Amino acid sequence: MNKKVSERLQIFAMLAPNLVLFFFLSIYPVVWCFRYIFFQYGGLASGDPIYIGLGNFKRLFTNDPVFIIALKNTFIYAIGKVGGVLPLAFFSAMMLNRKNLKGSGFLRATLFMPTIMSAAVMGLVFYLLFNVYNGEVNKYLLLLGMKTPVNWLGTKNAMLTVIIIGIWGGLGNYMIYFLAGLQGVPQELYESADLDGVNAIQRIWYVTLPMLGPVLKMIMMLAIVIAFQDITTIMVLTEGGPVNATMTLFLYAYQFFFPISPGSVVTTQFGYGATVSLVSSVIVGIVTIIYLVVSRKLDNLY
Amino acid sequence: MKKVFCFAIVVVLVALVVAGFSGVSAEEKTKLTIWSMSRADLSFIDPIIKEYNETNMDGIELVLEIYTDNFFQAVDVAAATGGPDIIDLPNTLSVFTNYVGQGYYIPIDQFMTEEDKALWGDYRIEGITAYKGDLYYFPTVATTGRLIYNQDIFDRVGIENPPTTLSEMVADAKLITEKLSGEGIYGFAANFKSPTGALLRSMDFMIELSGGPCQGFDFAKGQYDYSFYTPFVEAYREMFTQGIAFPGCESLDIDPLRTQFAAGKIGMYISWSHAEPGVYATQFPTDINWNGATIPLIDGHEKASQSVIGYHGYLITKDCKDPEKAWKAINDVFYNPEYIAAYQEAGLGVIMNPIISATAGTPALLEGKEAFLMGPTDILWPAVPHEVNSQAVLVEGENMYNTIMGLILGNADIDKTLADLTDRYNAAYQKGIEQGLGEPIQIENFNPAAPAN
Repeated sequence: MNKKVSERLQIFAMLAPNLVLFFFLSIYPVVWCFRYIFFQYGGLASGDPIYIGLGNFKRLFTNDPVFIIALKNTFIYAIGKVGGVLPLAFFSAMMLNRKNLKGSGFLRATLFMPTIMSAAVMGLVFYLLFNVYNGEVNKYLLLLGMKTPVNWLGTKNAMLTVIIIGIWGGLGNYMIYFLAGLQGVPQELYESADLDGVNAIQRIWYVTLPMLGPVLKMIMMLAIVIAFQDITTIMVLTEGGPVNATMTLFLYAYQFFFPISPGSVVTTQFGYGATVSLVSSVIVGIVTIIYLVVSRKLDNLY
Repeated sequence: MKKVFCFAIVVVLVALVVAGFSGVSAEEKTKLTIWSMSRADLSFIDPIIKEYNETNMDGIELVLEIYTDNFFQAVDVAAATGGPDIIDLPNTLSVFTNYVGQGYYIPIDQFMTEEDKALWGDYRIEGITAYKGDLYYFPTVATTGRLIYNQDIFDRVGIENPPTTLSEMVADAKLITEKLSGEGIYGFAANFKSPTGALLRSMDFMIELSGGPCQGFDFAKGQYDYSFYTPFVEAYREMFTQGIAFPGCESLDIDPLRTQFAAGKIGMYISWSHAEPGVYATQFPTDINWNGATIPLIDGHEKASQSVIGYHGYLITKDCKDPEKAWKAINDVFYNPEYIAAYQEAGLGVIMNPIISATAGTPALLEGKEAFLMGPTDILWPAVPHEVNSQAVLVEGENMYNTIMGLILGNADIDKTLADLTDRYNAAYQKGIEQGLGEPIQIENFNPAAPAN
């Protein structure tokens, strides 16, 4: 009995540093923020919070066109990014997993590089690449025979551009996950598949993907959750504009707490911002749960 | 041996006493901390403060602490938990308005002499420098909007003078783009990446100078009214959707815009009077021949006045150890006309007070660019309700700048959208009054040419 107690104590003692930090730095701020959903409150310098009941929710659901736009944009962005980055990362990992590939270390490092770059720097660099008046991308397109430069960051194309940047920024990360998963697939399975005379597509479909099942499930879940929360690059590149074309849920919530850029004037609305955050989190939570239910099959693929 | 030991002890004791006394005399000085955001002015101000600390007979020691972007958060925390003795007001009015209602600053009327009143008497403006009638600071320098133009481009296409009306501006921009867009030169540009940043420095001043409301608030009616903005939106929509303006303005930040202007690719744009001369002298040096002019009027209106943002005012906080000494130091150093004149002559800011301005020389930076100095139509306007307390006007849906940006780039019905904007602002304003956060503002016989009188 005593041994059991001391073992438990040991476990809790080891968990304690993490739990304490997690509670104070993750759980507490979330609770602190969400308690303002029933209040009109502008932060430290704005006087006492005013209780307004469900006023923030009423405003959100009946009188906030930007929230609806941000909701739509978030889904477009998440579907675009996840749909683009996962197949690309998977095939890059497949290529780099080949034993006989020369320079695979160099290629891995190159593909992984965007992951370690600051998202804010990425935003600035991509502004230089994509801007319409002297951006490098347009220079090459014009050289290739395009007649008029593309307004990559204009109202129509801005979302496509931030998705491209999102894919570029996430590729290396997911490639490493896939690579780790692929290296756990026993070589014998491929050998016996080869003996059965499978082609390349059958090899992937009947051997690789089923063996990756549980890993794939986690990678997709991570990709979905991260895509919903991506705001840094968008914040630097377009600030959610032009005219809300790239405004996403979490960026929209963020701007009620902090100014997006030093020049922008913001009226802090902690209460309303907390409400937007809560509803956004619930939406991401629902999407994740739906995904987990739908993807249960992935665990038992083989 | 004993004697030597005694002598040594006496020497040590005497030394300690002397050191102690000199320590006391140093400690007698009242240390007053000033928080400021003006890193760029440090090399100018530092020697002045040093000299003041060494020479003043009042036992005052000023300590200047420079903050960068964290200034606003620092003041936020200071107002709640205690902070500096003096705050140097940057060109963001909320540093004053957010905290004055909570009693964080000390009124200065009690310290002012007749002489001070004669010099600064005109600067008691409710919501800007004063709160409930009490005066808190005087802004020493000011900034407002100016039209920035490339004279070389004007010469090439045959434009003699910078435009004075909105329709002239659109016509000039069109002419430049028609003739020179083949070379990548366009008539007009705006930093629309941040609609607030872009329209605050252009549209607001244009509307005020034409006798319209201030940020949408009509002081005479005591209500918001955006109907005045229609011709502005129409003109901008023409420029920004019909290929007249520089391409990509919707994602353009002010610095990339400036680099393109410095490269001679932009005919005109509108920006802050305090910033551009310095930018093209040091940040983006350029060979182009450029200048500034008064911003254009909306067609068919008489010239009234445009508001200025006054800054470098010195606020004494309630945490100040000795407010009287703080006032003495501020008055001797920063409100000293000689200091203010030298500040302008060093090219660091433009003086707002005409009495002091008359005694100061034009800085080398503004030789031939006198339009950047403050003129008779550059005046402090009273604060609009959302400036007095932004929490008292919580607008549901898009704010005025984002709404107008959407109108310029989109194709929604202008009058209908502006009417809706008016309704939303008035609803928020009324709600703020009902909640007791805001107070009704209405000025009888309001004259936009002399808004503060």
